[in-house]
Amino acid sequence: MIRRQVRWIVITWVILWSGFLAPAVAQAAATIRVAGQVLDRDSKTPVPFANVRVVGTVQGTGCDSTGHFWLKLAPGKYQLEISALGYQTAFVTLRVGSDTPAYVQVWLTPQAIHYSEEVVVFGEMERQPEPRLNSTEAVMEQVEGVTLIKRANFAWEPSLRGMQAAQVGIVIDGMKIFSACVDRMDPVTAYVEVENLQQLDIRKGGFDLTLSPAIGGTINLITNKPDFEKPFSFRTETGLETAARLRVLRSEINFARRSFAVRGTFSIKHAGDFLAGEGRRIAGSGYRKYNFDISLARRWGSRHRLEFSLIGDEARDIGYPVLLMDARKTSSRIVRLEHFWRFNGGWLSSIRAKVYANRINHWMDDYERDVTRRRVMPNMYMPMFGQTRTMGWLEEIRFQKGRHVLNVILDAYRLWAFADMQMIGLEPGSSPAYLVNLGDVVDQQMAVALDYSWMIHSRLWWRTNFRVDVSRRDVTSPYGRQALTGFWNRENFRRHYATLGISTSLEYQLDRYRSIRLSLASGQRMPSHMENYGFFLYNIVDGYFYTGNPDLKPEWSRQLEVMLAQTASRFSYRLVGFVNDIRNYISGTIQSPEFKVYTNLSAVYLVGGEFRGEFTLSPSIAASWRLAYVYGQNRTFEEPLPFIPPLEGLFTISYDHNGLWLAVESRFAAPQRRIAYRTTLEDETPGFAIVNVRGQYAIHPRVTLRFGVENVLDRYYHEHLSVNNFPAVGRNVYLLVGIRIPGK
Amino acid sequence: MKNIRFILLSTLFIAFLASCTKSTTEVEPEVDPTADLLKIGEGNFSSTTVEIFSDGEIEVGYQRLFVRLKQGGEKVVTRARVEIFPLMDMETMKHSAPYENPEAIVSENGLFEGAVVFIMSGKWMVTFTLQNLENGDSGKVTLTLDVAASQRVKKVTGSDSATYFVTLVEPRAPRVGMNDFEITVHKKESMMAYPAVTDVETTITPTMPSMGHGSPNNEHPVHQGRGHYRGKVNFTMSGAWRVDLQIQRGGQPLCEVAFDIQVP
Ligand SMILES: [Cu+2]
Ligand SMILES: [Cu+2]
Repeated sequence: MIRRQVRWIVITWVILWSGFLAPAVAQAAATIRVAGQVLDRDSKTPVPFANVRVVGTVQGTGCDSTGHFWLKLAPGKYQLEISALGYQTAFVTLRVGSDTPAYVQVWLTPQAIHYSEEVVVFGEMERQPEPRLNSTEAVMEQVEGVTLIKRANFAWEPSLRGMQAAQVGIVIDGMKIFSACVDRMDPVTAYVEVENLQQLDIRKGGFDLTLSPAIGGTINLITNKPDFEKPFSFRTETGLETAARLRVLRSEINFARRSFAVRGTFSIKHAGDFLAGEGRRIAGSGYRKYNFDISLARRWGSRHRLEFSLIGDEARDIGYPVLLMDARKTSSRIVRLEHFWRFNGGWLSSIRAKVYANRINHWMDDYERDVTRRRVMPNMYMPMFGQTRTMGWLEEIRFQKGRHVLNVILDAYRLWAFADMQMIGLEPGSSPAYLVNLGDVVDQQMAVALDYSWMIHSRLWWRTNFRVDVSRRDVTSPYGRQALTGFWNRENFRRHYATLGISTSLEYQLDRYRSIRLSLASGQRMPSHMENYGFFLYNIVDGYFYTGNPDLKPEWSRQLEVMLAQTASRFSYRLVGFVNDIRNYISGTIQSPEFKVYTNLSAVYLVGGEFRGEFTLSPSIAASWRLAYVYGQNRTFEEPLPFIPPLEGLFTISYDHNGLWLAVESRFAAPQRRIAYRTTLEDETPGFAIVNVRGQYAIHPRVTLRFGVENVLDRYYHEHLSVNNFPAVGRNVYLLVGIRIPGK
Repeated sequence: MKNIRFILLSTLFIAFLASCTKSTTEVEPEVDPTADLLKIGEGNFSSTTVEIFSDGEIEVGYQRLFVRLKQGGEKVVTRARVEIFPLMDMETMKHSAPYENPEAIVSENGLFEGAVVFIMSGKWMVTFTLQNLENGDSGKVTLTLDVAASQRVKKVTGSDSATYFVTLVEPRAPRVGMNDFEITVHKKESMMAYPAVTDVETTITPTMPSMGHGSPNNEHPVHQGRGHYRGKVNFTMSGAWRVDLQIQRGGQPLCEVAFDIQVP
C-alpha cells in the first residue's frame, strides 16, 4: 500500500521534472501567433497594459502601452480573459485555425457596469465562471499551498502555507466575519456556496495587506453580483452524491432592466452518514444546509453603482463524529451595502465604499452522544452557544496617474463575540454548571492601508504595501472578566494594539515567456479575540482547556518569496519558494494540569514552495501539475510545528471538446512524520494517493450534465490536517443535471 | 459632492477615535462608615451611648461586629477599649465561642471592629465591656442575638482527639473566577476557652462534585495571625462547588473538613 503511494509520488516527480526540462522542446511545436488590441468601448482609445489570460491555463500576456498584445497558441478553441484596471473583465472566445494567424479586437467596458475585483499581483485568482466543482471547498483544494482542515464532512477550513486560524484572513467581498463556534466548526468559507462564488482570491503569505494584516495570507471570497447584461436568466442544478447520499439543489435567477438588476440564489444540501473508503460508514456525520443570497443593484450611467446584498446560511444537525459534540443549528446573516463611484479623467479613478454587518449564531450539543463513556467531562451534557456580530466599513480609494496606481484603503470594524456552555449532569439531583467562554468581547479595529504599484518600464513592475492597524478590545461582561481572574490576577482586561505591516515586490520580465518576482514583507498579526480572552476552550487535539492571554504580543513575521513563472503556449509554470520567520509565535503552554494558556513563543520558521505547471498537449487536451511543500520548525522547542501539511500535489489531465469536458485527477500526499509532540499532541499520518474522474457534457444548449467519481479506488485514508484522524470520503459517485434559460 | 463625502469620512474617523478616548470624572462623596452595616443593638453607660453593628444578618459563622460610642449622644468617640464575650445558655450547660476583641484603641472613624464565631444557631448573649478612654467612663452592654443556622462552621475532632472549629470567612459572596479564601481555626480548650490555632498548615482542593473536575491556580491558605488562614480559590464556572480542606500540623494530618459553596 505504502509502496504503491511512494511509486505514485516518484512517478509524478519524474513527470514533473521531465516537463520542467522540456519547455524548449514544447514551445517548438506548431503554434500560431495570435495578436490583438484592447480598446475602450466608450472612448474608442487603446487600453494600455491590460492583462490577457487564457482561461483554464496560466498562459497569458500583457498589453503594451498602445493596447497591443500577442500570444502563441496551438490550434483549437480558447477563451481569453482580458482585464484592466478600471474596466469590466471581458471574456472572448477565440478559434485558432491551423495556419492563419488570428487577430482579435477586444472592447472593454468601463468598470462601473460590471466590476470584477482588480488584478492581483501578490496572489492568485481561482475563477469559476462555469462551476465544474461541487463546492467552495473543492475549489480551494485545487489550489497549491491551500490545505483544508477537516473536522467533519462539512465546512472545511483553509490553511495557507502551514498557517491557519487567525493567521489567515478570510473575508467575503472584503468584509470581516468571525466564526461563532469556539471549536472552529464554522469557518467563514462555509457561507459562500459555489453558486455564489465568482472568484476565489487567494493571497498567500503576508505580502498583500489590502484586505487584512494576516501574516499567513488572505482568502477573499468574491461573490457573484447582479448582472445588468442579463434581462432574464435562470439556472438550476440538482443531483446526487453517493458517499453521503447527498442531495443537492441549487438555483440562480437574474433580472435586469436598464439600470436595475436583481440576483437571487438558493441552495439546499441534505447529507446522511458518509462512507469512508473500503465501505466504512461513519456514523453521525450527516448534515442539512440551506443558503441564499439576494442582491440588488442600481446603476447611474457608468459612473455610479449601488449594491445591496443579503447572504443567509442555515445549517441543522451537523454531525462531528470526531469531536465531542455536534452542531445542532447554525444561522448567519451577512448584509452589505456598497457604492462604487468611477471618475473620468483626473488622477482619482474610483471610490468604493461598503458598510456591512453580519451575525453568526451557533448552537452545539452532545445530546446524541453516549456521554457516560467520555473521558473528558463525563456524565453530563454540555450544550454550547456562540455568537459573533460584526459591523464594518471599508473604503477603497483608487488613484491612477500614468503607470502609477495607488489604492488607499480605510478599514474599520467592530466585533462583538459571546460564547457560553451549560453542563447538565445525567444523575438525578446533580446540580448544573455554567460558564462563559467569551464574555461579550468587543474588539474595535481600524486600519489604513496603502497599495502602490508602478510599472517602472514595460518589463519591470514594482508594488509596495503599507498597513497600520489599531485595535481596542475588552471583555465587557463583568461575569466574563471575573472568570478570567481565575487565570489572570487583574481587574482590567482592556488592551490596545497597534501593528504595522510593510511589503514590497519587484517583478521583472526576463524574456518573452518568463518572469521573476522577488517579494519581501514584514508584518504583525494581532492575537485573535479568542487568544486574548477565550475561556475554557477545549482542544480536542491535545486534550487541554485553553485560556486566553490578555498580555499576548502580536506575532511578527518576516517573509521572503521568490517566484519564477513561464507563460508560453505549450507549457506554463509557476515556481514559488518562500521563507517565513515568525517571532512571538502564539501557542499554548501548559499552565496547570488540564489547562494551557496562549503564550508567545520566541521563534518559529517555515520554508516551502509551490509549483504549478500546465501543459497544452493538443487543442483539447491539457495537463496540470500542482505541488506544495512546507517545512515548519519551532526553534524554541526544537520540534516541528504542528498542523503542517506534508508534500502534497494534484495532477490533472483534462479533455475539452464539443461540449464534453473530462478530467482525471490524482491527488496525493506524502506521509507526514514531522509532528509536534511538546506544544501539542499530533500523530504521524501515512501518505495517500487517490484518483478522481470528473466530467461535464452539454446534452442540449439548455441542459448540462455533470458527473464524476471521486476516490475511484475507494481508499480508506485521512489527511494530516484532518482533526483526530477524521477519515476522508470514500468512493463518491456524483451526477448533477443543470438547466439554464436562456440556453447557451 | 466630493467635499461632502470628505467631511462625512473625516467625521466618521473622528467619531471612531473619539469613542476610543471616553473619559469619566467621578466625585468621591463623603461616606458614612456605617452605611453598609446593620444596626443590631444599642445601649448606654454614663453619658456614653453605644451602637452595635454587624455587616450582615447574624448567622452561624465568623461574624464581624462593630461598636460605636458617642459622647453625649453626639460626638463620636475615637479612643476606647472594647472587649467582647459571647455566651450561650443551654439550660443544662453554658458555653462560649471563639471571639476576637478589637485590637485598636484608636479608631479614626469611630468604629471598633471585633468578631465572634457563632458555632451554633440559637440565642446568644454577647456582652461588650466598654471603656471610653476620652473621659474614663466604663460600662457594659449585653445583647441577645438570634443566630440563624448556616454551614460555615465545621466542628471536627483532630487526630490529637481535641475538638476544632474550622470556620469559612471568605468567600462570603462567592463568584466565578478567583476568590479570596479565608478560614479561621480555633481549638476548644474548655467550654469557655476557644483559642486561635496558629501553627497548622492547610491545603485546599476545590471540586465540582457533580462534574468531577477541579480548578487550577488555587493558593493554599497561609496563616495571617489570630488563627486566620488566607489563600485563593478559583471557581472556574457557576454551580455547586466543594472545597476540601486538609489541616496538618508539622506535616501530620490533623483533620479534614469540606465546605459546600454555591457559585452564582
Ligand atoms: Cu461548534
Ligand atoms: Cu450549644
